[in-house]
Amino acid sequence: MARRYDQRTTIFSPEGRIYQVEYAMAAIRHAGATVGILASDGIVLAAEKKTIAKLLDSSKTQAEKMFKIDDHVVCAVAGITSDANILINHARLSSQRYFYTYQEPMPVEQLVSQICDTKQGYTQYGGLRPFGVSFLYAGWDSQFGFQLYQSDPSGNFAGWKATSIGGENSQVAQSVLRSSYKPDMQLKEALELALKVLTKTMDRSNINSEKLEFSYITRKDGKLVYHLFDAKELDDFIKATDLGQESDDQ
Amino acid sequence: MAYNGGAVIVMTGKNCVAIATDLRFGIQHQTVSNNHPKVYRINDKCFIGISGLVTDAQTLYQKLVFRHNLYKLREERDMTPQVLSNLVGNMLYEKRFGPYFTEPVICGLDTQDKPFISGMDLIGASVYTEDFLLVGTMTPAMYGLCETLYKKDMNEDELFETVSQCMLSSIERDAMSGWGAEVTIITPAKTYKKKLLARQD
Amino acid sequence: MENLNRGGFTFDLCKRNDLIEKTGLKMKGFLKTGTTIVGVVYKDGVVLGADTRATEGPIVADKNCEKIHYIADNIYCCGAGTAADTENTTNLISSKLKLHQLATGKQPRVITALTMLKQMLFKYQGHVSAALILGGVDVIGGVVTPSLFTIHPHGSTDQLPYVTMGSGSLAAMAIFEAFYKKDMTKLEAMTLVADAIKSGIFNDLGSGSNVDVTVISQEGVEIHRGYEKPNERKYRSNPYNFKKGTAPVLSTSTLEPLGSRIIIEDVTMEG
Repeated sequence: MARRYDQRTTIFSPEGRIYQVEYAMAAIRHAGATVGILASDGIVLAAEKKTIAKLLDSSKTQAEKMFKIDDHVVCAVAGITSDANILINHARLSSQRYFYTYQEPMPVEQLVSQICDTKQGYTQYGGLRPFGVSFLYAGWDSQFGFQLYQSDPSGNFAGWKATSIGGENSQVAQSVLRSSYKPDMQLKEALELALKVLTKTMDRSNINSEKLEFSYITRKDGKLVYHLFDAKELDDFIKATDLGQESDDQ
Repeated sequence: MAYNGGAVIVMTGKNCVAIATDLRFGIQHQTVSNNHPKVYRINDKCFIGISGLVTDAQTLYQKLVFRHNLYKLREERDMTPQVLSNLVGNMLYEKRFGPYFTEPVICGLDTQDKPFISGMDLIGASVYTEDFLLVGTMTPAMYGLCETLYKKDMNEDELFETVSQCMLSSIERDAMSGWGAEVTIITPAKTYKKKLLARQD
Repeated sequence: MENLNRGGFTFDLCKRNDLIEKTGLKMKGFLKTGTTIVGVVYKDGVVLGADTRATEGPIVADKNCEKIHYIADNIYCCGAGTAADTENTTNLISSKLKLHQLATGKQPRVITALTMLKQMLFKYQGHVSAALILGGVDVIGGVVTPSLFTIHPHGSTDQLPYVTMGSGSLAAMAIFEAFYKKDMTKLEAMTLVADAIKSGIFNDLGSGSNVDVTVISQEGVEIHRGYEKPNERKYRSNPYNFKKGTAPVLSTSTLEPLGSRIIIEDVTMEG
């Protein structure tokens, strides 16, 4: 009996729930936390890496959870990366199609909304499972400037000033962001706040470049730049920020 | 396709390539603009010159940008001119029975900074040479000239002078091209563009 | 809308192009290979030969193109007709044959390549204008067998000990008819092929430049690109040297690097 309403994505339970979607969201909680913070001069994306193995060949300087969608939009992933890859390919294609048609970059919200339409479709049409992935999107367009969005497996999305997805301690992350976020933050402060959030949600011994991924977007000389921290830069940043003595969490 | 007119030459030198274009844009015999280069930059070391029907040339270029952007996102590197050449060739052959009226030439430096040039007909039959290639409304005049003036292993200055002479002399005898010319030189260190003084008739 | 990985031909511009041509504008001609291509069976295998001229109307568009295409390690194919068609048809069949080879785990047979080619060309009812000479060796019933075929654009095929195709086929065939003999040695066959191609080069306007020869036998493949070069340019005068500053330059502008748009390292977070 318990299995009656969780087999198919298309069926509501009598309480009005779609279990498959909720299970997908549960899957995301197992992933490492990903934080996004909107600053006045850019957006920070920071993530905890979960899959580390000695023998994993990470010689490629490729990000594990951060992906460029276009020159003006990047996203961070929490959840099943293979699911994310499908959506990211979709997103890249959509963005290029928009550019091909209108010869100008796709508005960020429109791009997010289009990916979410795809996600929503998989909660409604029979036989498919929803995408087990949440995204943070950081983007810039000429109309609305810097924008940070979050989306979940149900296909809902919203704009945020600071938010997090994934992680077992998402409540902690949200409350740290709520208490420490200031509306006129600069990129540097936002980076420090992102580190602070991850310090509170993760095991302290894991705060290093092997377990973390940091990136930001900002504008320089009228052009948008996306910067992904390399290992040394990240370790230096962690050392310089030194949240060590601030508090003892957990 | 002698509807809009135009001419493009690509030529190799020692560790450098040049691409020259005229600047006329006309509708049959009515000149509309004298600032219409037919050369497009794909990335730092790769350029494409597209002659023929301008509406098709622009569409083709926009489709190339589309494919090049996706390639860059996926592969995290720029396309080499060789890859671009194959891409264009396949895009054109797809329209084998209803082609774009365009003839592209591609030039650039590959990952070893070796010069590469290629050209193709309107359905993507590629031609690879080591010396020069040309497309446009005045090819019969240009071929002989290029055959005479070209020499092997020119440095970037010699290459510029030679390709400029080829372009300037041949637009003397083509009513459909001219109204100014532009030469782009690609070297491993830098890429620059020179506008030439050319007849305006 | 740009669709990726669609495959196949698209016909969406056909109507427009017909309308354009009705207004009196002429479409540019396709690149043709003109071409003399030949093949001959000798004692241990097959020799294929081709000239290297590609033409666009009366203009020589390529003085040294390749007309002997790779199909498989033991099969090659000469192409005449519209350059884009010969190039793409042979490439397509080469890749299909590779998939077939991976599926069966056996050396591809010439007859398989032949069937794939003729079925494709027949499907397009001669509109894909590729005239081909297919040659290769394979093992039939434990015996190493050289095979040589011609394939016409409509999909008909012939199997013969010596064949020629392209606009220079008559000139080349004259040589074969006069000098072909059974069970030639490799060198005899190569010389005969080169002579046939040269007959095309010198007597047919659509053929020219150099002789390419490819020999396929059980020992392997020998590719002789530029086996003979009877038309090297000899009459060049002293090179023209233009002094720096000859061309009148109006303006110079440096094109700044677009910058790798993937990783950008130049924004420091100090301060």
